[in-house]
Amino acid sequence: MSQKQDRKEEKLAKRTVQIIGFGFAFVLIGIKLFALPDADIPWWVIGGFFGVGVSAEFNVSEMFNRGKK
Amino acid sequence: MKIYRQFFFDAMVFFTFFAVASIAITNFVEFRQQSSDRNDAEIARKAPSSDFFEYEDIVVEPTYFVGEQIVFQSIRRGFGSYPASYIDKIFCPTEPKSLVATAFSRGSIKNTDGKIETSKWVFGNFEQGTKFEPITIDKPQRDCYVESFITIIDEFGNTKTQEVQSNNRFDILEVKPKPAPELQ
Repeated sequence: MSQKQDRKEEKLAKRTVQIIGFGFAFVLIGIKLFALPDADIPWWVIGGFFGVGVSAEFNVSEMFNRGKK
Repeated sequence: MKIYRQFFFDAMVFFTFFAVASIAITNFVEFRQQSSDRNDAEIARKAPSSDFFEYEDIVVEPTYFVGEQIVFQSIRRGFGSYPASYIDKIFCPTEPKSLVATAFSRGSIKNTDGKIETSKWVFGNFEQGTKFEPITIDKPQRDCYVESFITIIDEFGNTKTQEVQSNNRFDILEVKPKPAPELQ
């Protein structure tokens, strides 16, 4: 039951991160290109948020701990 | 709670990675753009301070005959990066008022993206002193050339040779008398 709960929580967390990351990235692109071109939002902020969205599919800790005993 | 901490950590790592990648990409794009701008500026700097273009005037011998009129072709090539307006002007030279001339001209422009645009033929009949400005370009262009043809016949039916000069004018230099008809 606890495992099922964990999986559910993980899925929810993943979806939340994706929504925050990709959502912010697309909203910022929209603002930069269409709504407020003068706002001058840096591309690295947009790229960073896009990275947050991508990060939902990866587990960095696990990747770096792989191979450790 | 632990899982959120892990996701937060991952998000930070990926944020940093993607931000750095974005900075690298934008810098690269900017560098390319600046190189292109520098190249354009260099071309403009090297260009002579003539009115609009560095002209390479070429006069071609009569190319074909239309009835009694001889058609001359002159090709004018320009290269530069300018806020150009007129790329060609034709003045009817100081010749007898009875002179009737027809000029038709068209311009081709090679844009910075390599696309070639050719304007429609523009026709104009003009008398002495008439200014004929066939082509207007509103935006900076590179690598333009104009093809101009002019046919001139005076009241005696004589044809005339013309030359394109650097002051953007066609001037008649000599009159070729019409060959006498053969005696029957």
